[in-house]
Formats: sequence, structure tokens, C-alpha cells
Amino acid sequence: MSKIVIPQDLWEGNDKEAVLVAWLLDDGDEVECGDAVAEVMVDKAQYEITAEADGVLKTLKAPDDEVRLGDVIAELV
Amino acid sequence: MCGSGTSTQIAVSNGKSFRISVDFPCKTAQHGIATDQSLMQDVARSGVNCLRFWQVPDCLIVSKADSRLPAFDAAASQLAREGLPVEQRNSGGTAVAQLAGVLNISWIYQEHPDRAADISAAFHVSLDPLVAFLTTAGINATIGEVEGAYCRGKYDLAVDGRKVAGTAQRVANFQGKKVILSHLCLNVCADFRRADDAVNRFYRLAGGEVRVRPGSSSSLSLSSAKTTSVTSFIDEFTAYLTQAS
Repeated sequence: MSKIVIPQDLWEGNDKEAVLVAWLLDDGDEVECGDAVAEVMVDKAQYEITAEADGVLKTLKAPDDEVRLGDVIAELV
Repeated sequence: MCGSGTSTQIAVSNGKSFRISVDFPCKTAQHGIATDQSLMQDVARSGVNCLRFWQVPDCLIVSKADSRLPAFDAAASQLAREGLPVEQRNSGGTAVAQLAGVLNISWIYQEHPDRAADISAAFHVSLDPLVAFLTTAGINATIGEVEGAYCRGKYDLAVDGRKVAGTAQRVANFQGKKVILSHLCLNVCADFRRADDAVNRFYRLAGGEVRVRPGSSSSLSLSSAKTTSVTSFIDEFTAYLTQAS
């Protein structure tokens, strides 16, 4: 099992709170390494989060949840 | 290739060169938004940065969160009957009215893939040239959140303290190439009172709590007798950008 993490270096300044805007795939979907799976927003800047491995998506956060750099937002089982 | 209506003119912002594209009117708001996304892929592929001016037909563009409001469907139907269709964008923030006289300006460029995104720097790519241009025209333009304004953020553009443009950005990776879209929605000569009323009406009908403060926004044309239309603004701004580069 691997995790989908908001990369520590995605933006500068790890004190900023971001919001998970949307999942681009559904819980249970097959994911391939490199797929964009979610979008997060901080200061009206929006970032795609990509999977680093293949697997089946199990989301751990919901849209509108607050997230930070380094947070695990999903697992790939 | 950078959108329809691409010129050979080059603009420069924060040391980056951009090919200028004038692309309006777009047939639909969704087409206008989707074109930005496909241009991000083009920029990743070609390495040629793009500055795109675009407009969409009258509508109210709302976020995904807005679409989850309790009476969203009824609100959207009502506004559509009143001539202002509600369109959903794939991003956060709150509702923005796109009326005749509103111009979208998208700065799309490649960034080094290993560099953490500098949010402030990316907003300044779109804001700095515009502030400099307005300043040369004698307009008092400033960057900062305007309390009570529609879709407000730290990088609002205000003239005499009233919001004339909102900003947003998008960062995406395409086969290892990092591309940034720094977008600005500028009220050149639109009826800003109608725009603010439309946002408030949407949230009242949909059951949302957001309210725009009357008098918090404005248009460039109110501040400068020179700026009379979107096309004249584009002509003047691109002339300024190409001279400056």
C-alpha cells in the first residue's frame, strides 16, 4: 500500500492552510502512477496532486477539508 | 501554437517572454476556461509562454463549493431565466460575474519542475505589468485584499481602494513539465453594480452566506476617461507591453 501525500515542496511556506477542492477520481477507481487525483487550493492558487504509484484509490479527506503540506490525503491499496 | 488570433508580438513580465493571443468572444464560458487548460498543455509541449486575452458571454461563474449549496439548482435556474446562466469552474473561490466589459487575461508559462511554486511571484507575473501600465496612465492601482469584495483574495487589484480585478492561479504538471496559469479577471467597463447584485442574488437564492459589500468594486472606465472599451484597453495595454519589452 502507498500513500498520496501533499508534497512538502509543493509551494513555499509550510504555515499556509490549503483546502482540498476536489477529487478528480472516485473512491475505488484504479489509479496509475502519474495520474492527477486531486486538486488543492491555497491563496487562490490551485495545484494538482498526482499519484506516485499504481493502485485503487481510498480517499482519506473530503472536499472542503483543510490540508497542509505533508498531509496524507489518500491511500492506494 | 498559442490559441486563435495569435500574434507575433512578445510581452515580457518578470523576465519571462510571452506570445500574445487575443481570443474572443469565446462561444461559451466553458470553452473559454477549457482553452486555458489546453494552452497549459501547449506551453508544456512547446516551451513557448502565452499571454491570452479572452471574453465570454454574460454569465455567473461559480466554484465547486458553490454548486453544493442547498438551493443551488433553483438559484441557477432562476438566474438563467433572468439572462445570466450559471457556469461552474473547476476551482475554488466564490462567484464571479462575467459581463460585457469584463476581460480575462491569462499568463501561461513554464516553471522549473524542481522549484517549489512561489505563489506570490506567480501572481505578480500577471499583476505587475498591469499596475505599471495603469500607473503610467495616472491611475492609482494597488494590490491587496479588498474587504467585502466579490471572490476576494490577497492579490486583488484595486483602483482608489475599489476592486477592479480578481486573480487566481493554477499549477499543473504535464509529463514532468510544470506549467503555471496566472489568471486575472479585469472589469474594464462592465456595470459593476449589476455584477455585485448578481453575486448577492445568487447566494441569497442558493442559501449561501457570502455577500458582496456595495461600493467595494469598480471598473477601469470609472477611473479613466481614456479606457472606453475592452478592445481599446487591449490595444493600449499590448502597445505598452511590447514597447516595454
